[in-house]
Amino acid sequence: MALPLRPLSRGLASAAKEGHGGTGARTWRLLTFVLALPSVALCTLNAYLHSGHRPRPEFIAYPHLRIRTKRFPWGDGNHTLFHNSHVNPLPTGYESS
Amino acid sequence: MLDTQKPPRKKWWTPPFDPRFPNQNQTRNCYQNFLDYQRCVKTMSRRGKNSEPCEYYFRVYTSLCPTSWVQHWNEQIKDGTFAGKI
Repeated sequence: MALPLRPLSRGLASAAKEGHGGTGARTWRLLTFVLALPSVALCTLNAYLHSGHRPRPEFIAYPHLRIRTKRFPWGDGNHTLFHNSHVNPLPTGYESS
Repeated sequence: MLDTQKPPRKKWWTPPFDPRFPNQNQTRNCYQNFLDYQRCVKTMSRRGKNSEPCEYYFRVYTSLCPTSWVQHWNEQIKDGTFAGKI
């Protein structure tokens, strides 16, 4: 289900920025290295810590999901374009992963 | 439609006005009463009580819902693929 809440959730990238002195390139270079790139690094760290194999949800053949009214124009017409056999079931169930 | 259910023997009235669904579209009214009936029956039988108070919801959804919907939903419940929370 939802990711367990970890203290390491980062909202820095959306932190409000106060008005700054000048609009020169120096300012933005400073902001890039001091604010933007560290935020990217922290978000990467957060994603890495939350990664890893989780138990995949059991398959229930809900009729409102995995609808096939018309075959897909590619392949066997039953697989989505970025089908991942480990996490994406077909309308009849998971392929043996 | 009534497969295992017999209509309750009391007088069958028109569903009363439900202020939660005041407008012309009564789809949600039908679905809500269907859900309420299923939940009521489930809870009453879990507590070992008589499910007769649930007959209100049964009568309302039987009056409001298209029978094909009810048949469809009952089949889904039997197959375990019903999407509503019961």
